[in-house]
Amino acid sequence: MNVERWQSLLEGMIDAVWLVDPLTLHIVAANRAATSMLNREPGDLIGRVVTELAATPEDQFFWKDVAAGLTDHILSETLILLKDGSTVPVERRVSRVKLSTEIVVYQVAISNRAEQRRVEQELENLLAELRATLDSTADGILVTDTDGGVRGYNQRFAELWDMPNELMIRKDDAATHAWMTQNVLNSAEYESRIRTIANSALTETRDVVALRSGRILERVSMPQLARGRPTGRVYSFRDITQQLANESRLQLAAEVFESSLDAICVADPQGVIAAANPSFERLYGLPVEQIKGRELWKMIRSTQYALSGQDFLKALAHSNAWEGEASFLPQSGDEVPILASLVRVVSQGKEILHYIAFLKDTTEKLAALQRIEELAFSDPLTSLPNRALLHERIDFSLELCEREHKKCAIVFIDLDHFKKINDSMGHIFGDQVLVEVAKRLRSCLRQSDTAARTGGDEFVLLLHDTDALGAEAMVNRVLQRVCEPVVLGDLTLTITGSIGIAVYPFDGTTRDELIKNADTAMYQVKERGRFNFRFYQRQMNVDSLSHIKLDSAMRAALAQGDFLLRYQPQIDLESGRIIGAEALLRWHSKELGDISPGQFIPVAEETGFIIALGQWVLTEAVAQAARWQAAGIGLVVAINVSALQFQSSSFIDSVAAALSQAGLEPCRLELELTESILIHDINETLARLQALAQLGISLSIDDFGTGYSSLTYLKRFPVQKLKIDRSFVNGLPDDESDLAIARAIIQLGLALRLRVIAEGVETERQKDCLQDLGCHEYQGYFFAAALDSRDLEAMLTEEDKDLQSGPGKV
Amino acid sequence: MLLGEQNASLKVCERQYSQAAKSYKQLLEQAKAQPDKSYAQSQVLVDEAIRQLQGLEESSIRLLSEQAGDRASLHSINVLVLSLLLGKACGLAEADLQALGIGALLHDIGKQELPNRLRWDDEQFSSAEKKLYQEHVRHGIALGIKMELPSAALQCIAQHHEAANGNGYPMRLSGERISPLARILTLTNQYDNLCNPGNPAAAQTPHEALSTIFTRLKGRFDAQTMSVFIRMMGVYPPGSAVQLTDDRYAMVVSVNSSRPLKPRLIIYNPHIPKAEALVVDLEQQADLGVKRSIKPIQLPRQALDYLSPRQHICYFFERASSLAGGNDTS
Repeated sequence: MNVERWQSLLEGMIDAVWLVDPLTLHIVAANRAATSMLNREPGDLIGRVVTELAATPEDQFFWKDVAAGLTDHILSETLILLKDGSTVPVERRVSRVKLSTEIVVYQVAISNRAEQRRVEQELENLLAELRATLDSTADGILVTDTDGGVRGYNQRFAELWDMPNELMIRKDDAATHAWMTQNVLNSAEYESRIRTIANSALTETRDVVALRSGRILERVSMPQLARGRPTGRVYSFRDITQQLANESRLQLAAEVFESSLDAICVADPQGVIAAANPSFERLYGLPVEQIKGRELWKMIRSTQYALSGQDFLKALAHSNAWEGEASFLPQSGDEVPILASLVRVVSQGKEILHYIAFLKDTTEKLAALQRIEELAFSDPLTSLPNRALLHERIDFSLELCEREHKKCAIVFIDLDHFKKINDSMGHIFGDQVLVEVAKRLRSCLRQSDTAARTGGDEFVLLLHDTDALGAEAMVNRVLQRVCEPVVLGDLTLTITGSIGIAVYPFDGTTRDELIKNADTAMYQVKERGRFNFRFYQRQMNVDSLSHIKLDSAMRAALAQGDFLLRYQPQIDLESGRIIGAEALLRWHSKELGDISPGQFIPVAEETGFIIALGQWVLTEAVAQAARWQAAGIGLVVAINVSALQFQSSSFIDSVAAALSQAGLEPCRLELELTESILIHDINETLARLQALAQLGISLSIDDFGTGYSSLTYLKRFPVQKLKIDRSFVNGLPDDESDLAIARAIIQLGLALRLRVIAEGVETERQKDCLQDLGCHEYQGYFFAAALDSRDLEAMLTEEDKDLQSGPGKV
Repeated sequence: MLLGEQNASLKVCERQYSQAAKSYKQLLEQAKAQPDKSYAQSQVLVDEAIRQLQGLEESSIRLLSEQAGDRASLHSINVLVLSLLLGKACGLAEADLQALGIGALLHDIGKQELPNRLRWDDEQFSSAEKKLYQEHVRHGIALGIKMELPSAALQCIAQHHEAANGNGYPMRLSGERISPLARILTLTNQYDNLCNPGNPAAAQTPHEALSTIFTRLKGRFDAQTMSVFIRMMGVYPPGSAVQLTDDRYAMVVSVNSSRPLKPRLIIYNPHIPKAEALVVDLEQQADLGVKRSIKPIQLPRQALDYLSPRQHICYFFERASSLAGGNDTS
């Protein structure tokens, strides 16, 4: 086929062009563009079968179709095989060209797409990289156009905003914006902010968006610029939820540290304090600069487990935390009770980082606890109800009685001589006695009654629904139970009590009134010799005088000469003659009437006035004895000496002075001393007694049997007489135990060559009984009460007459 | 055929596909510890595939490029599917088909022994790296022996990188010395590697992959096998997104094996609702031809939504590449 004359036409074409013979499919002509594209000489090109160079399936199928007459043109992108076996991407168009009536060829026009493909691929690579970059950023990125239309976002953006899938596959900008608006906490604010941003195309923005999901996003937006003109906006969203949480936790921790009421300090692994909060400053008493560097373990000591320093470290090594009661040693050195919580902070590598101590001052708490205990209802020693509960019960009972018109009784019990028990045997022993008494009281009561301990040896009973008779029966039972011998270890003793009773509504209608009146009645009993009971009587009102008032009244009375002495005769049982007299102090007040010694002596002892009063008694009694001595009356005058008086350093001198001043023979004076005085300080007492004995006066032991005389000392003491306490005389001769005691005392006196005198003898039978037992002397109402000195003298004159006439008559 | 029917068969295929990928992953994991069990599982998988591929050829081919997931299992399943289809087209007997299936499924099993970064051929590899990479064939044989694979299947694994012109590895076998089953596998493996390479940006469309194989790589493959392959796949395999000579966009739905240049396709027409879009047979359209194939993702958004049965996320930045694709008809 001769197509050479078309060559110049072919050369004029920009595209590479081949002419292909329709029958042989040989290339019959090609232009220069073709030879240069394929990098072959024209000779190397012409004559080749077209599918050798255009070898892709589509080329092959096309030429097959051409051969089959099925088609005569194609336009598509394909590959052309180069000489070196590589390919070049091209767009080629094949069309049937009729060069003349007999010459028909296929013109293959090829334009090189290599450059275009290369650019496309480069772009694709670039985009792929950009995509990978955008999807690898930690931030969510959203790109919008200037109208807010969504151009695109990355996966992180979709995650942060929880974009639902259906929203992501639908291109719906309005729905996407609506989703974002819905999902922020403050939609209104968000919308207005978005509008503001949209209206200022060139500004950069930075703010924080809180989502409903709880995420906090930092939103930074920058204008997207092309040649200086805004073409859109790029938003980046960063999740700062965790960061904020961390920051606020840190801030919170710092605030807690600074403002905590607990004292907090941080110490290094060596225990050296590195930081301390204001509460710690207050607790330690120094500013933090001066606390730093001090050792923590020198400040804390556990009270619970006796831990300190190294022990704490051991405890912390075990569990990294310790909590308990401890004491804290502040700068002042005065220990403070604390509640301590110690923490050992350890790194992941088990290395000790530091110690933290949280300390709470519990001083106030402990005080409060104590107060709570006070207010609590039971007495810890006897576990009887305490005053508070008693008051509650009384109030309840009174209400009930008022409503139901019933009666109830308040019984005030005070143990006799309990102070002496405590003083001589010690508190522990005294406490055991109280516990025993409490047990006995409880055993006497009915279910509805209450026994309470209201003070040292004071007990109060509330007898519900009881009248005077019932109360009396109950109190008798109590007296009996209480005085049964108490056995504690190898000691046996007898306790007695003095009891006052007040009955509602006769003796008072309020709690306080009833208790006060029962108390008053009890005092009356004490005054009258103890170990008994008594109902309240109205005239006892003087008892309600306060001690202070009584004290000042006493001092006035002494100055005004309102005190006077009465003398109770002491009779020799053998001869029936009066051989002595006990001087007894009486007080007649113009305002208050007669006031019993039981009332004012305890007050005088309390205030120390007893010394002055005792001195007056000594002087007065010695003067009387001297008068009698001058009158030829041979009476020994006995006076009571109080503990304070006896112990005063000037006592012996004052006795000697009184004797010499009055010119009384010492043997005419007798001092009565109680057991509790004697037992106080044995050596000192012995010395004093010996000094008194050397003066030539006689000494006797008062109330013998109620205290705890040691027989050993009794032997060594220079005493001449024992006085049986009236409480043992009371039951004679029928009460067996009284009888046994009286007999024992008398026997003891005989054995030690002491004289024995009984006091409080009221009946002839008592006198006879004592006489039978071998008692030497007695005193009491049976013979005579305490008398005016003139009356006594009259009695002595009478006695002399009897004696003188008696034998005459015989 | 309406688009809807096409999509139904696609769905069936898709389910089977992901099931297969899952069980491949399992058997891969236990290949070393329990090789016998792994082989048994492979057999089940291959038998299932042979049974299920019946009548779903076009859908299967179409899905090759559309699956997402773990690359290693996708590639193995793709090659399995393609090899079975090609083997069947070549008229293989049942037993050979099974051996081919096992070989195709397990051809890359030796890559397990390689460090991760060396598992995908890369032009940037140094010669030492390239050598290490090529070792995966030997590892594969060793594993295959452990699994007691039939010798025909073992041969497939051993020869899947050999080339007809003797330029392959590891044995540099050529022509007839490569087993007939391996001749199929070398081709399908190459095809899928071109379509789904390690670097997605370098991916070729099925049409481009075929063109490359028939031009640049022609010497590596058995001519007869290639010829069967092209008839099966067509010039524009099913699923190809194409631009027509009149610039309209379309998607190939099936091959006309007597006229590979004239496939049946669906043309994007915004005036016809998607559900009613008809399949057009290019054989009936003398003046209309396929001008070029493009990556589906390069289609304009509306066209993609119209033509593709799959839902695509529209806002992610990968969509930006459509700008590079040129002519946006919207």
